[in-house]
Amino acid sequence: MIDEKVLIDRAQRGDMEAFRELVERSKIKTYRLAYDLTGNRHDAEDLSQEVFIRAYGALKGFRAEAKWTTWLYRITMNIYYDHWRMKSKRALEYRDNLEGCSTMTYNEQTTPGPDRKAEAGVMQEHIDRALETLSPQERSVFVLRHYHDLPLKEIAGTMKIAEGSVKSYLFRAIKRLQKELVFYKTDLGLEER
Amino acid sequence: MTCEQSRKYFVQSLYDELDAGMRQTLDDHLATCNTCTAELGKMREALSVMTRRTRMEPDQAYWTGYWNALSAKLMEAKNSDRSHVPVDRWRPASMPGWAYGVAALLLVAIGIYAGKTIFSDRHTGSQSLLQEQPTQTAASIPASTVDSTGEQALAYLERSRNLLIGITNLDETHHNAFGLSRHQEVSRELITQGSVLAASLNKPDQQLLRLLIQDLQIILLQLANVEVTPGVPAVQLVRKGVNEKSILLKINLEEMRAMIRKSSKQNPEAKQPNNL
Repeated sequence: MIDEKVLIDRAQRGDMEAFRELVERSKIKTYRLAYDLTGNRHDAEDLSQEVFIRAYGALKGFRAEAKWTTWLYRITMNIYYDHWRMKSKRALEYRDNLEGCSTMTYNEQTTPGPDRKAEAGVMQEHIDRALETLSPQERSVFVLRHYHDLPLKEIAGTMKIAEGSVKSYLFRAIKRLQKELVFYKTDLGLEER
Repeated sequence: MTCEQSRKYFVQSLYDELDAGMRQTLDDHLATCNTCTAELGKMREALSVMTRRTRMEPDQAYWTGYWNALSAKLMEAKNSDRSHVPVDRWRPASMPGWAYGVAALLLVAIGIYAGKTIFSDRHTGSQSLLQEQPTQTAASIPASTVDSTGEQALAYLERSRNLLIGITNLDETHHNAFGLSRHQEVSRELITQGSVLAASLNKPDQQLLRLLIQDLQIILLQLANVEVTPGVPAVQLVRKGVNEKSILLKINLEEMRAMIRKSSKQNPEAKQPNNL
């Protein structure tokens, strides 16, 4: 297997095959992070492809001392924040146009579609909803630590924030999830006996 | 180690990122503190539920055709130059990190200066509408006596109404010269307060009040985010939202309801009308 740094170097010099190899090696990880952030398959597919498009455009500025996946994660995060902002704006406009439907909340716009509901169990639905209550920063830190196993220090580097901030985002995220899941505890059979 | 100190290490403990010394210190505290032990246990439990989450993975055909689809998009992006969006848009490569600190300090200094000079006269023009004025409504209730959520909500409505009346009565030339920055600042404060209030209004008879605050949040968000630039009818946008949702009327109705409730409490024999 060709070393990642060699591939990056070749890709930076315009070798499309080398870039393809880099994509092949990281596409699943990137998709999974995108999925964890957006919470649905369609957005995750779009987002992960956009990550590689941006990475390709910015490849010449990539420094060899950085890790390829860390760099991709950072790009994913940036696109996710843009995506989240746009989605919030759209939801707001949508809600504003619905006369007489003032009980509609923003979150209802981000709930999974029917295919997701059909295929996932009740618990998955609860977990997805719990994740949706997190702020973009809390969610980013949480999924990077919990589902992608990035140490706190590495998350701080990826998100370009202080390690202390990572800890407090994560603490708040877990507390919020705990609160959300307590509501479902009976359904999940996790009550303390 | 105090409970507060121990909480700072919970996250690292949950993900096994504590060094041996710190882990021992935390364990020593947990051995003597049931509260912290229970709290950490509940957090661990929540994480174990989150671990059961699964993802929807695309099928094999998607992955097989991934490169072809991506390279087609790459070509398209190349042609439209979309791929050249900077990765760190908020931080140009040529600008060192310390420059952001200096810029932040400068902004704070400018903010303080502007606050002291521009906004020092709190009783001129529409600015006076933004302050909490002594009136005969719920807003005039001193903080010490505003003990119920309902009363806090009324005080909040009063302040929002003042802000919106200020905006709807602004003339175009005035807002262009003066700007909407103070209104937007107040609007942001109200958005924060409103979120907390809406969450705490959970009784059945507070549903209308909660819906009104949610509607107000939309208008306040529009105001907080509107770009005040030439050619953008910022005031008209907010005014349109206020009129379309009859916000001012709804606030008045809510205050009337509150007055009726208050008088019926003072005089229990008085009959309360149902049509409001």
